[in-house]
Amino acid sequence: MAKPSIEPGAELDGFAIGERVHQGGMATLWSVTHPGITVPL
Amino acid sequence: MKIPRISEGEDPAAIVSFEMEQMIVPRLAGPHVPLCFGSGDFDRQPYVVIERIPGKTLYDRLGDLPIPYEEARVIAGKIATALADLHRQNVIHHDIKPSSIMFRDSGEAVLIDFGLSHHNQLPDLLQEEFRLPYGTAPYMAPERLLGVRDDPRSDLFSLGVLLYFFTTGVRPFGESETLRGMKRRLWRDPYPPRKLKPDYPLWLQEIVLRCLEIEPVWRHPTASQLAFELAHPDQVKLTARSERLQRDPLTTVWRRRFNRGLTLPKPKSDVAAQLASGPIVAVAIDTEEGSGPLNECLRATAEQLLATLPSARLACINVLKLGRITIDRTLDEQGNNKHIDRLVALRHWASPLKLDESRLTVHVLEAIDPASAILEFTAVNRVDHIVIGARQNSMMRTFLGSVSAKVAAEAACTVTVVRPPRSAVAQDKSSSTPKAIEA
Repeated sequence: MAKPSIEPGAELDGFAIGERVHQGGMATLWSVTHPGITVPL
Repeated sequence: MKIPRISEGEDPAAIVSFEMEQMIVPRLAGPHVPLCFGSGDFDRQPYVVIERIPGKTLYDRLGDLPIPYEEARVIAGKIATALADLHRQNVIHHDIKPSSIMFRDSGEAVLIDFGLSHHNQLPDLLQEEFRLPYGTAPYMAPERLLGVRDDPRSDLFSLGVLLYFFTTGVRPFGESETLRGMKRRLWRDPYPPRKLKPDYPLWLQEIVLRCLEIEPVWRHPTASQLAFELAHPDQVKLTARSERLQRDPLTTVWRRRFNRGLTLPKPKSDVAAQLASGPIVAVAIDTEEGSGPLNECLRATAEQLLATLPSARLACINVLKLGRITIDRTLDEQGNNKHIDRLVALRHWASPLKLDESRLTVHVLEAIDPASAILEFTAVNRVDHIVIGARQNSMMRTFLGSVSAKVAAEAACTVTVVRPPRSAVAQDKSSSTPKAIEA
């Protein structure tokens, strides 16, 4: 059960992780892209 | 992609509110919520992927306050429409404030951040695990301070706060973050906007003060009706509210303050809801090593119970024991979050039962005394039946006292104490039938 690290350039379940958009009190938001989804995420 | 903060020292509410968001967001549809594209659970890396809404939240406008009445009317109307759509989908947002509101290029308001939301058909983990109201203090409706989380009109109150703030530049209930300061709104009404701004339109004061009514029944019955009034200001029925220049007289305030039971309707009876939704069965599970055979027996007992009660809900509880004097770390030696590891272990325990999401909840309680924590959880959540295992290891029992004995003796509901047969313990086998004792 290795923890995947979240950082720009990493990949998680097909989602390519981009820059960090927001750092909140309870969560962080990352911009991501997925080859099958055209809507910005 | 939204990833919860679960490192050392973070508030366990962050985990629970993420669980809520993860349950609720994929169930939502329509232009007023972000689209959800996928999620990952606590087994590996928790996340949700949502559509990116361009632009900024309303929070960005705080520097421009107060804004013109007409602009505020249009903005509040869009938010009310979005709330109506959300409430229609059985969800109460519970954290309406400028930073949870965005707008599409096409104009519709989009509500974001569902971590504190309540879904009518899903278990409410925040209600069940935390006694304090979570939310944003200046915007929180008074009934929330009394533990009511199932009234959609709480969102109308928050929108009223926002509208008051955006049109006057002043927060109606200040910025107090203390529970004591927040509780004032249970009896003290805000200054009427016309006292602050003599040119405040009558129809707008009528709407704002109605949203801010202490009793939910005096507010607009639905978000749609509020949206309608905001769309047709000339048709707003003006009452005495619209012309007021002073707050309620002190006699009224005192009456509200000291006769709470008389002035507030009792929150919706949990008993009625419980009868409708079926009984709640709580299973206390030890995730420590060496409890395998006992957990097998607990599962077999739970399976038998659930087979006879098709509408029953199963709550799996584990107590993360805190030291009495030591400073506890939230991470274990490998850097994993203990709270989450326990949640995952509980889900694994329950997975062979193949229960639907709406019938199963898992809870990790953090407490010094496990028996008291279980008793409090079951009392608060009106659990009908507790299933708990008895420790076989007499050494452990001598040192720690019997949790099951205390629960069985003090619980207000039926308790089943499960003991694995001796042979199963000896051979570490789990196929034998458990012996259940009704206490």
